[in-house]
Amino acid sequence: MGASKPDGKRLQAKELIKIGVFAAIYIVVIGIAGSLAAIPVFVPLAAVLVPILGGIPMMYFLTKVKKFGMVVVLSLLVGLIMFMGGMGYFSIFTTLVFGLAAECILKAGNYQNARNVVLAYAVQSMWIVGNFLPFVFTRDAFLAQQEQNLGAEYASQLSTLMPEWIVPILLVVAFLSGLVGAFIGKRLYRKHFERSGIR
Amino acid sequence: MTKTPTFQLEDVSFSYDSTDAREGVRGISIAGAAGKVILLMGESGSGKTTITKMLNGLIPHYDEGELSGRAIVCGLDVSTTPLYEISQKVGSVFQNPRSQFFTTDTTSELAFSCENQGIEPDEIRRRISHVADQLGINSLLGRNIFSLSGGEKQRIACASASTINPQLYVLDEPSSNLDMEGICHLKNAISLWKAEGKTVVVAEHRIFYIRDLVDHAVLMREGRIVQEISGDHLREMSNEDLRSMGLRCGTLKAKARHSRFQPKALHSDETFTVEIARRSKNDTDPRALTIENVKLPRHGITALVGRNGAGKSTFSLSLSGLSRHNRARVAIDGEIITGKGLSSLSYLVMQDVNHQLFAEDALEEVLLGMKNPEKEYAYNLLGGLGLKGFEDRHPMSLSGGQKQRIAIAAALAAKRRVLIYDEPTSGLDLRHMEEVASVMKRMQREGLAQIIVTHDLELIESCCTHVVEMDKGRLGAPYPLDDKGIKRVFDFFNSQNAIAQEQRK
Amino acid sequence: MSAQGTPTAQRSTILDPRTKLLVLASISTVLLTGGYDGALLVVRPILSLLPFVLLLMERKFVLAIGYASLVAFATALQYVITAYMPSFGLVTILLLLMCGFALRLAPGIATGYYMVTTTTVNELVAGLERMHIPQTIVIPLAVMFRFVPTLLEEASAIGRAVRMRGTGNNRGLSFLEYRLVPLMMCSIRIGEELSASALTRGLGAPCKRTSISTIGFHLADGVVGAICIGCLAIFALQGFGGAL
Repeated sequence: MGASKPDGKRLQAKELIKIGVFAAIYIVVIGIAGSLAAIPVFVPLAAVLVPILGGIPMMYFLTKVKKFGMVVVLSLLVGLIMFMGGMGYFSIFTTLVFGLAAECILKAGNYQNARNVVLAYAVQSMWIVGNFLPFVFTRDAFLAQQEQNLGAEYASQLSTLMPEWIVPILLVVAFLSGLVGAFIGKRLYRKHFERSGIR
Repeated sequence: MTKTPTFQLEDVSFSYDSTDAREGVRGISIAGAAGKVILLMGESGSGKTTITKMLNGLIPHYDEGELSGRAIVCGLDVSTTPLYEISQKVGSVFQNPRSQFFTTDTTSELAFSCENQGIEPDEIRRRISHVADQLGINSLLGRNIFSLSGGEKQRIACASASTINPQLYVLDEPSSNLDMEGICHLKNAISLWKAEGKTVVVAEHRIFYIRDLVDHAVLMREGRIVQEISGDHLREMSNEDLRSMGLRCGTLKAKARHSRFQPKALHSDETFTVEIARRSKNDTDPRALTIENVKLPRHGITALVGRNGAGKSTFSLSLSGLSRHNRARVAIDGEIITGKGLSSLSYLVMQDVNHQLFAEDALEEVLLGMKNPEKEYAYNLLGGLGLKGFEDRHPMSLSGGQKQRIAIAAALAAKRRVLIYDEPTSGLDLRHMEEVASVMKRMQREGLAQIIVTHDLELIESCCTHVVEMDKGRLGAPYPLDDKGIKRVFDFFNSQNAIAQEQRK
Repeated sequence: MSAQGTPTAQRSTILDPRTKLLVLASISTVLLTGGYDGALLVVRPILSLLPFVLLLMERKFVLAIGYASLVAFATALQYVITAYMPSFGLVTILLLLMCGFALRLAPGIATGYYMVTTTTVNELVAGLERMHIPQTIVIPLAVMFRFVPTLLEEASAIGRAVRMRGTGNNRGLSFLEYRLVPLMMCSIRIGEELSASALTRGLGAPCKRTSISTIGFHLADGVVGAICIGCLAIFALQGFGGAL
């Protein structure tokens, strides 16, 4: 789309539009899978599906990014949309943090290294944990309330299903799924986008 | 005292970046004065679009490449002035109505250019009001853009360009996706701008609608200007003269049919019957059709014509078994086909062929639809459609016409018997339109029944055997394209001009 | 929507978009991260009720009823299961869990729906611009909202093409390939055209953008705003819901 030579450091309108377009594609693609992450039972599922599905649009985007800031802005937008969809504000933080990390990884490879792109995407995928964090933060209070309403037995069963150490596990799952998603995205990119001359 | 021209290009050349497959232009020298309409004509790829981009600043600020020569537009040097500054003096209208708008409602869309310039809100409202009155679009204000037809969207696009009161209007094939009604509105906008003393540059294939307004025409070929014609001279040229220049016709006039053409009476063994009923009795959606026992020619090429919103696309979808609202029943070659069977009977070549190409190379695309994939057969199909040597190319890397032919090859491979085309020639120049027509004739020889949803009179004249009119969800009886038929279909199209006039009141 | 005379981008909604964002923030913060004790016992129901009231005010009856029904159903299901199920098998646990989380999430999601269905893109953009949110965020956000309907249109056209080709809806990589790849190619092309069109209409100029949107704070914003700020204050005083 137009430029490959960056003009100035600030993000120009055409780049911002590109970010908006890809953010829209990403949101639509991960769609339902992304909202699933709000329900703890389904979080492992979402932590696998979202990075895999999202890989296809994101790998294309990440391959075309040549200017610092585009990945961060896109990630932040995803976080904002999650917030507006009622998933809580944690995703704004996770998308910002992991988006920034991904941006740095890309920059470290000078926006040219293919391996960095894969790694960047896998790191960025870890944002999905943000949809689940609201429950982690109030786990005790939530369990106490459930115990009050529905009985101690239920609460104790529940607490085994929601162990406190689930967050790091989810991060790892998201990262690994991100690697899978990146490989799929890359393969489809080579198979179709490169050969079709879509710039 | 000579007035300074609104724009002046002196020996301008542009070549796209090496990664871009598009051809550039060379040695362009052209100027335009106030109150003049300049027409850029030429085949696809001849450079018309490139020149329009140099006038609105997309070159060199959006498309990368080498620009040389002197390009001054409204007193601004295009190569050194930033795009947003050029956009204050130049209004642009593009080809595709659906991808031009930035907002989701019409009023906001009209305000968009002004808002970007930081104009006071009250002034913006005043301008919107003024433009809406001028172009007769008051009824379109405050509506969701997604609910508008293509023609209505293009009217909004024209109005949106007007709100900043530019000196120069640049239009790139604005009539491509429009029907007669839409074209009428477009012509009205251009004549309005001309009367206001603006300069209008139009790059076009379809010349007939602006012939009366053109002051100066330029013929391009392979990136160069090869001929300059005055407006008067253009108006004197006959359709045959234009054809010999590779251009579409200048007047829509019914040609006498060849005496060889035999109007076929529709006997039952030469027809197939279509019946469409709504899936649920209570469906009041306008897309739920009721069509009873229409007999279409089994081996004919039937043009399906009608205003936008008449139900043509819904009809095509229903016939292919893809409509949620309707159930179709087809009696053909002695069988009755309905439900799931329809998807093995008909094949729809979509308006945007990109929606239906999935494979990584042309051969794979053809093999995809075959129950028992046979490479040899697929090769032959592609070869027969002029795609020999392109078998291992990615479908998306090919031209529009080539993509269409791959889709048709896939239809043949899947042994479909009814081919439906949705606007196959919108935006195509003469040569490509004739290529499409010859493919259709070839398919006719292969025994397929063909239905073409189209506004393109030249295509209809070129290869269709019958016409069927659609209005408000009802299908008329098909009539053959003999002399009477030709006149009838021309009258049908001309009547849409009157409709457009009414809408502006 | 627009009247004769001076057209305006008529207000289609009662609350200013900034107030809506405040509601969203309050609900997200208090309901999702707050505890269940003390004054929050009062705050929680108030905030849970707020989306319902707002939806009713804007005449979104279907959504309002849907939200209310979901809450009623989940609560009822919870009590039925705990009262009548003898033991807690895996299925019962899962059901209860889903009810529990539906109840926790519903207000947020309902507010999200409320936000999306009652605010036009322009109003949202105008609101964000007034909050001095930089163009770096505003432009892509506006593009996103405008682009999603187009994406869905393209996706359904592609879906029709898949059905017509009869390649079937095979799961796995083929599904992704046949649906997502054409979708992306078409979208990228449309995105480019959109970009060119917007740029030739002056997007990205260094001057401050104006807007014909007539957003602004009125009585309703004051009332709703006060409620939200009140709830947030209580939440803060309670120690940020146990995080501290």
